[in-house]
Amino acid sequence: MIELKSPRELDAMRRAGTIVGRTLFQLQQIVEPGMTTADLDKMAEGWIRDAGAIPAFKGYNGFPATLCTSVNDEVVHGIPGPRTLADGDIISIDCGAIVDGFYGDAAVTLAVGEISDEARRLLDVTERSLWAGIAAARPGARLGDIGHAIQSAVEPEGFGIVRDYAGHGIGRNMHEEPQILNFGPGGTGPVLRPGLTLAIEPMVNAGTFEVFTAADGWTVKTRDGSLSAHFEHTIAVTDGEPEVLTMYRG
Amino acid sequence: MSGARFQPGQLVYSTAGRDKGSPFLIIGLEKPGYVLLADGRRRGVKRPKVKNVRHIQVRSEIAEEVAQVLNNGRRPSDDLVRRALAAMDVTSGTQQPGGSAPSAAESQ
Repeated sequence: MIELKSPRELDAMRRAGTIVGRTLFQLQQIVEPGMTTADLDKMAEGWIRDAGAIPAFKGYNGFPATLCTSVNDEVVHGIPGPRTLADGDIISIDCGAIVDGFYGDAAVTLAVGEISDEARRLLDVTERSLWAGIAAARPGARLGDIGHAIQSAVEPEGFGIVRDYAGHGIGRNMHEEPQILNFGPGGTGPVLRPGLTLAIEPMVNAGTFEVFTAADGWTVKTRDGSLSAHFEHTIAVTDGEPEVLTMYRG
Repeated sequence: MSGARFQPGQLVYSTAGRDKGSPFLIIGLEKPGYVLLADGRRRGVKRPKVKNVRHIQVRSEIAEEVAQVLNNGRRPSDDLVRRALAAMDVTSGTQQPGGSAPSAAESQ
């Protein structure tokens, strides 16, 4: 069942979203070669708990950390650990927080030091596709319009839009209905209505869209070893422009 | 945190083969690119249909009770699968305009 949120519920999601957005913003300020992904995770957990929120991923289906940190050919769900970031890496950081029982969920891919022009283009295209998807989340539009907008922003650039993982409804749970595929025809699926809250999250590979899950059972990697990027926001459909609940502008 | 596209308990329609147009629940994931389907009637849980994901149309609805059983590592009964499907809006089939997600075959 697709659940619409009340103004009070949206307010809790806004607070959770702001904490997530701020955490990602702060991580962006400090990521540099030589840090480990575990360093980032520890800091993020401290910031989220200091803000009175609960890290949403820790313990979720057994996931062991506050952040998902996915480096280079890792697509999503990478587990923070001793891996040291090197100049030229890209790192996707996914973060969730719970406030008063409601979830916020967002992700960014960051450059570590100086990255190649192709990696930069991958990040730019992926972020642009997220905003294309968000712009499609207007009242009266259909769910398929979001995925179609994302796919249309990615594939003409020669990149692969990952198909095996999807965005999702969000609210009282991290994963609620509906599932949001990042591809497919527009004009299909349920009609979008004010109060619908969605985590929109294109995952884009520099090569083909094919992926596999690594031996740790979590980390998803590109099958062809190409780089991958991931951008995500939690949004609410409103009477007009969508509201980005995980926005933080410093 | 992204969700897997194919989830235990998820409603799908067959788009190819003798069972074309019929609703099923995903009760397991086979090798990459294949899912295990059951409807509790012609396809029981003990003998699920192995189906290429290109030959199904995936819907966003998930039968929560069935998902719960599967996520606990147990096997749901045919009766539970039948009841879950009966409680879902499965009358629309694969043809209702705007009612469903695109099939893998159409989109890949």
